[in-house]
Amino acid sequence: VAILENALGDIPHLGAEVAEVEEARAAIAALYAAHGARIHRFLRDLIGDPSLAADATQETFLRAFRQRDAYDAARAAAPWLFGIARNVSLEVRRARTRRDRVMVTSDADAPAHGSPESDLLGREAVRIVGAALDRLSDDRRAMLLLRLDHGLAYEDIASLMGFSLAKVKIEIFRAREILRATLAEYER
Amino acid sequence: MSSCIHAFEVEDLALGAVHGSERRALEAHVAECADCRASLVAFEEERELFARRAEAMDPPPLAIALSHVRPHAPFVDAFVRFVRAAFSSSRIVHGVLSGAACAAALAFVVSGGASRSSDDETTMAADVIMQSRRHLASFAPAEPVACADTRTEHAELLACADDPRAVCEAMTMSNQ
Repeated sequence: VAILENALGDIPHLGAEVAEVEEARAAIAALYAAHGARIHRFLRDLIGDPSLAADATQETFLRAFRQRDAYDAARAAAPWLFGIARNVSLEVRRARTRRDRVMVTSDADAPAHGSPESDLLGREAVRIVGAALDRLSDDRRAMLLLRLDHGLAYEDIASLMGFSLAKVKIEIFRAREILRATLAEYER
Repeated sequence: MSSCIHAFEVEDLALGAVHGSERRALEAHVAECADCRASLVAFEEERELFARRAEAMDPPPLAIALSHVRPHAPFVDAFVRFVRAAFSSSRIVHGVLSGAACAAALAFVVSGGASRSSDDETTMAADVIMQSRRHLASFAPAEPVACADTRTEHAELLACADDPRAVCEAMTMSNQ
């Protein structure tokens, strides 16, 4: 929140009322507090590089601040933020030097900070999900994450991905089949 | 996977995204449809897998580090100035002690700052949340989303992470 508020403070008011801008800054900072970790995880899964994902997370919330007038107050904020985050991730991936496919499988993703049993389960989950995500195309990976990791509705996923509802359902169905297959391999 | 036409809808039961009569109708259907029950169990297993993974993964490291940094740490600044002034005549000793001062400063930051006031932190966080809620209230629809969490006001914001509109209802409830 501190980083974000500093960054938001650098944005000029552009003629808007100071109080309105300050209120919007505080609102975006609150959204960061509520959704920042999820957005960062989503971006990390899409981009692969944790430090790039951290930058992309900040960029996501800066854009949310700049685009606040486009926010539909009748809808939840999470799909709006994930939509911005996905656009940022696409730009980051286009901009960086072409490398191998993004791979998310890594033991380093699961630091020990709980009981031995929960750490073991956590590391196992990181490995299984990471292996499944590595088998998916970028779009399918994003859709699976939005559905299973972040609990978005199919309609919201279709809207933010720019796909039809039917396509989203089919893609997530197929991604889940791959996830189940990966899970079965680990259980054998 | 289920071949039932309600297969996708029953997932919303696990997500808590259906309410009222629609929820009751879906629950009644699941009670009678073995395919949908299996589909629901599979969906919940997969969600659980992702939830365990999310718990195991770090939040943004820089955000965590900076959330524990005091805006100004006069004790550390003064200590570094003292060390530099006292040993400015000896480059070696200066270097060693400056390094020690830096290590002490790092330990201070990592440990959350021994001299840091938790009251200050609470006040700053409360200010941000109070300002933010006024604006979040403007996001709220006519019928806010239910928030089942009954924790303290400070925790509500994080507890309702899935939908900030829930914060508004929690706030309304606490005002009643």
